Amino acid sequence: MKFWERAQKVLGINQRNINYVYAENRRTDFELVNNKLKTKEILKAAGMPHLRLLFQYQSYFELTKLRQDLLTLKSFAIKPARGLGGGGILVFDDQREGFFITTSGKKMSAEEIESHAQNILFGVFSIDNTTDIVFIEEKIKLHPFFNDITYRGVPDIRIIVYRKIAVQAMLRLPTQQSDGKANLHQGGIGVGVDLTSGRTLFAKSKKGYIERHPDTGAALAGLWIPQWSEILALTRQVAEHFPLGYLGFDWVLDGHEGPKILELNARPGLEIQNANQQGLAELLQETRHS
Amino acid sequence: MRKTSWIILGLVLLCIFIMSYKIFVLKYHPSVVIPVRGYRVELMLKVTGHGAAIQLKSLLPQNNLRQTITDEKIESGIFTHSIEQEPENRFGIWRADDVFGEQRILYSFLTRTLRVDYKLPHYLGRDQTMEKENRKYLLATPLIQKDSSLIRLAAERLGLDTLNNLIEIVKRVYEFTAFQIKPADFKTETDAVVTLQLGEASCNGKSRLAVALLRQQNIPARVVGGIILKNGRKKTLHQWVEVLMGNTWVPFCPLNHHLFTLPANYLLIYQDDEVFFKRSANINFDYYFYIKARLLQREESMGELSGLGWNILNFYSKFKKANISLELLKIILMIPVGAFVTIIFRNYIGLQTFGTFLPVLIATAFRDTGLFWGLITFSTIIFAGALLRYFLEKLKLLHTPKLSIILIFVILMLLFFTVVGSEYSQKGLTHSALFPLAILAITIERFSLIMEEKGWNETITIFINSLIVVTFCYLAILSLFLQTIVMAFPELMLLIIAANIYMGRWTGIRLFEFYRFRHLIFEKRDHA
Repeated sequence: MKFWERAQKVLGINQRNINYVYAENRRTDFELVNNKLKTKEILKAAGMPHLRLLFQYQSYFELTKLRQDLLTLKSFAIKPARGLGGGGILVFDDQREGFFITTSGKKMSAEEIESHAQNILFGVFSIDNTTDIVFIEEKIKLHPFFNDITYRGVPDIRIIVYRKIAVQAMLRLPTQQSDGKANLHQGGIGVGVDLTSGRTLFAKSKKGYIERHPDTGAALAGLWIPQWSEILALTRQVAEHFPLGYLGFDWVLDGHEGPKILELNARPGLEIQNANQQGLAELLQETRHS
Repeated sequence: MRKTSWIILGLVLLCIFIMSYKIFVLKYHPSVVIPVRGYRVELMLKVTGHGAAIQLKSLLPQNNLRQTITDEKIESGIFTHSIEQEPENRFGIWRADDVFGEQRILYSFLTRTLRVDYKLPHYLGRDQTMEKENRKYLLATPLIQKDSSLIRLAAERLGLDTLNNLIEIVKRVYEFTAFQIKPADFKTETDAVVTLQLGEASCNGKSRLAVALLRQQNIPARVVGGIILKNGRKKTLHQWVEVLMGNTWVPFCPLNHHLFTLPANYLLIYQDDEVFFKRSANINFDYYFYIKARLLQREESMGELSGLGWNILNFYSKFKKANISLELLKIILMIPVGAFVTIIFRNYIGLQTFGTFLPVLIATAFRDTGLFWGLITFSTIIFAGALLRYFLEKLKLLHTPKLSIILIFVILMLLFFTVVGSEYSQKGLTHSALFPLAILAITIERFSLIMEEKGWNETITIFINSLIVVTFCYLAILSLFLQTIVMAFPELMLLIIAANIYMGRWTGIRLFEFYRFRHLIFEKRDHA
């Protein structure tokens, strides 16, 4: 096979945007996934599993009750509704002596969290720099499967869904370097997943392909993701409720309550191809013609 | 065919049609749009005085048929300055009382010179009718001792008396001084007789000997001088010879071997054996020329363009009323070209930069500072601003007040650069005050956010990418050739729109993606 033919199988950012993101999704529908609160509303109405919304704040006035609300919380995440690339998200595991402990072990006071929330409201992290909404959602109890292959933070499962069909999947694991975040560009590890079996294939960090998790030392290939067929079935069901033709689904796996939607992404990244060592353009074309 | 393909085809054809109409019907000529090579010449004069009055006199170049002098600038410092025009030559005169310490005078100009080849007939009689004013070019001077017996002997040996053809005489004198007299690197003035005795000389000795021989033969000739235009700093002046042949002064250069031709890089500054600098005694004096090649717009072509129909210059008077200078107009028209460059870097190569059109705007601001000082100021402001933001971050301020403080900082920095630039006469630096302020503040903020999210490595990479794109935008926007082309053929905007439509539908893999997905593309791996 010539290199040019192999290149044709890879999905580049230009093609992703023109042929998939903008060709398959109406502009007005982007808001359904760009705004995490809207996503939650749809999922709630459809009875689909998702991370529960605990509080939301739409104005500085409403923020005045944030500190009171915080007192009732131990493990939770505070997020911008219309954030970009995981920016502005803080995840907490515990509350001790009036301080909140982030998953990466950093201590934060209620005052600091409030200031962060103010910045979110102002739109600092918002996708288009307009004013935003702050919300607090539950933090899952991690499935024990992840204990050996994650360093703090919350790992998730990314699935590319094209015209309601799952096309490619990847496990995203936080590392010490990624500061508890699963985003690959922040230093997380992407592990390709065989779509039919749920078995992990290759692991890729920012530096290149790796065999083991850099922090825990656990092997990353050949693992079977638990409840995989359930995740695939739920993906099909959730897809029915969103009018977008090209999406990235982010699933988290709760030890007790099973898979839950973390968020949906209208511009899923392209690194998933490296993690699977397979071009997405090829898979998308096969799906289109099937 | 797709809808977009039809639109692209239509735009390209329309553009070609308008351009052809202008070239074939309105007779646009390539010389209108193609700039010529010229030079910026700076003459730096340095004097150190000890409290007395000083007068300094320097020869200045003049326009003639083969050379134009434009955009003369004189920075006289403490001196009062005047210009003296003599029949042949022009002098700059600087005077000051009570001069202490080192003082500088900077005289600069743009010049464009042409190569001239003289087509001579086969025969010219040696006895020419001569204008009265040219009689002085037959006389002996202290350095051109044409009546010396040595000169007469040399003329006899060369057999000049036996020749009737003026052209043959000049050729023989040229060949003698060019090839029989060896070239030497004498720093001092050499007269005709000494040159003959030594058998070697630099340009002035060879030229004086040639003039002495010709005058001995009753042929009007003179030493002329100037500089050879070449990039760099130099002190060397150059002299060559002009002979009156059939009412035309025809040049030859016995040092560099040019006969009846003057190369394009010869700049004539004075005629007749003049002293370049005259100055008061008892001062330290030094000088140098700094010469830099650059492309110049033909002065005539702008006028020519407004005479032809269908271009931007037809409307120039309207823009002028609105206080838009020609320079600004050019820059505005070049912004789409800069944007085009940016798109190539982003969508085809895949370089990430700060903001989509930030590089274009920054490049535009560099117009006044120049690329070097522009890049330095821009980088300094961004890094210092990011440092400031790092400390501001500890105060936990809201976004807008924080950005506002950064904005104030940017303004102060720009004013600082302007003052420093003016203090150390770095003209580029003084113009940094024209940078787009808000854009710099936002860039600092974005720089810092990327730093927080992606770390140093990636931020510096994006920053360097931005500088690369800025540099290319700058080269495109400031390209005199492109500027003139766009002024003359504004319909090229249609072509740029067509290119944008094409690039907007281009789904190929970016250059950097070949690297990113190298394992998928270049490694032979078969999948199960």
